[in-house]
Amino acid sequence: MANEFDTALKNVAASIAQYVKDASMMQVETHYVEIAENEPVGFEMAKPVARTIIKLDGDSETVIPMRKNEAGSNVVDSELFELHQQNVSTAIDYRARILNALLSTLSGRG
Amino acid sequence: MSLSLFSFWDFPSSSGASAVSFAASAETAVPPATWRVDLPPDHQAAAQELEVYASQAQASLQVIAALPERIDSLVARVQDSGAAGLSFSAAEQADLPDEEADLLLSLVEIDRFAEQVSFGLEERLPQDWQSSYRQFQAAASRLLRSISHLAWVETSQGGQLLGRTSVGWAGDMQTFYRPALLPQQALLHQRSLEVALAARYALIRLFTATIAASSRLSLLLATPGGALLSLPAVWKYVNQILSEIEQYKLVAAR
Repeated sequence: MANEFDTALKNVAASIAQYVKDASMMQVETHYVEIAENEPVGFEMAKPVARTIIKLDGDSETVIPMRKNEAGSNVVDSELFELHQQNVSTAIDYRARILNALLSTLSGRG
Repeated sequence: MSLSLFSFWDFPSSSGASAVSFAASAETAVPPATWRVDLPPDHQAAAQELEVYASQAQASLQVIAALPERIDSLVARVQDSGAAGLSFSAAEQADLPDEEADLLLSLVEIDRFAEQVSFGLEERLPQDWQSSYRQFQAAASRLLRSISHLAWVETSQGGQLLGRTSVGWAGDMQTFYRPALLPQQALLHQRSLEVALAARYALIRLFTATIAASSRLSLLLATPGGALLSLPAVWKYVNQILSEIEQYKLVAAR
């Protein structure tokens, strides 16, 4: 059993190391998908509407949803964009919390 | 784990290919942990239900955040009692909460048992302790695996899928909405996602806090490897506290 416990702790430590490595970039995508009645959901047919890439060095890239207005000009689809931005905020908050939780394991204060 | 908030998370225990068509699932051979909630058709009732879950997640996090102080206080209390090591009398103090008393009794039992067995302790543990430890280990393994792989959050209303978000190991997300979704339905999935991630975070905190508390409580034990032996008892203790908080929240929400 002691070995299992050691293994669990080593897994946590390895997870933290991997997390910090992976945390150098984060990608958030928002899509929409047609859902037909009484048919399986085919998520592979989903169409992207927005994407944000955030890098640890501060760089970020966002593809925003646009649509034509009555005058034929491209304008931001603010509803979709707002929805996407909420997803980005949720992702940023989640990552920060998980990283803090994993690091707190190392500090011994859980 | 019996808490209803966490029960929305399904952590598969077996490996194998996913039966659901979803592009990102190819990233892992492990079935994804899935949060699946079906809300009432009435929008106000649906929103209220999510707020109850959000409140439970918040309360759970507050309890877990207060755990180190609670454990430190318990350790100090036993150490200040002047007794040489743990004893039943430490657990029988009138003003000690039931959960703390049960925890101390478990620790006393661990120490007493260890005194009787001078070697081969792990192999000679009572069967029910081994079982408790295995349960903790299984929960910890599933949790660790779930945070290191893809997870899905699915929100339905009245049986109709509103949206699904895949959450990657490092916070990467892909959200899929059905078209012609009403703004309030999109917000329901958004809120469901927040609650799901808060519950997942609470589970991770629960796990790490249990390890830290076990380590701290081992100061009271004469047994080598006391932190390991106390893990199931601490796991049970923390879950008891959380269950009571959840029951209170459910009653308060009615």
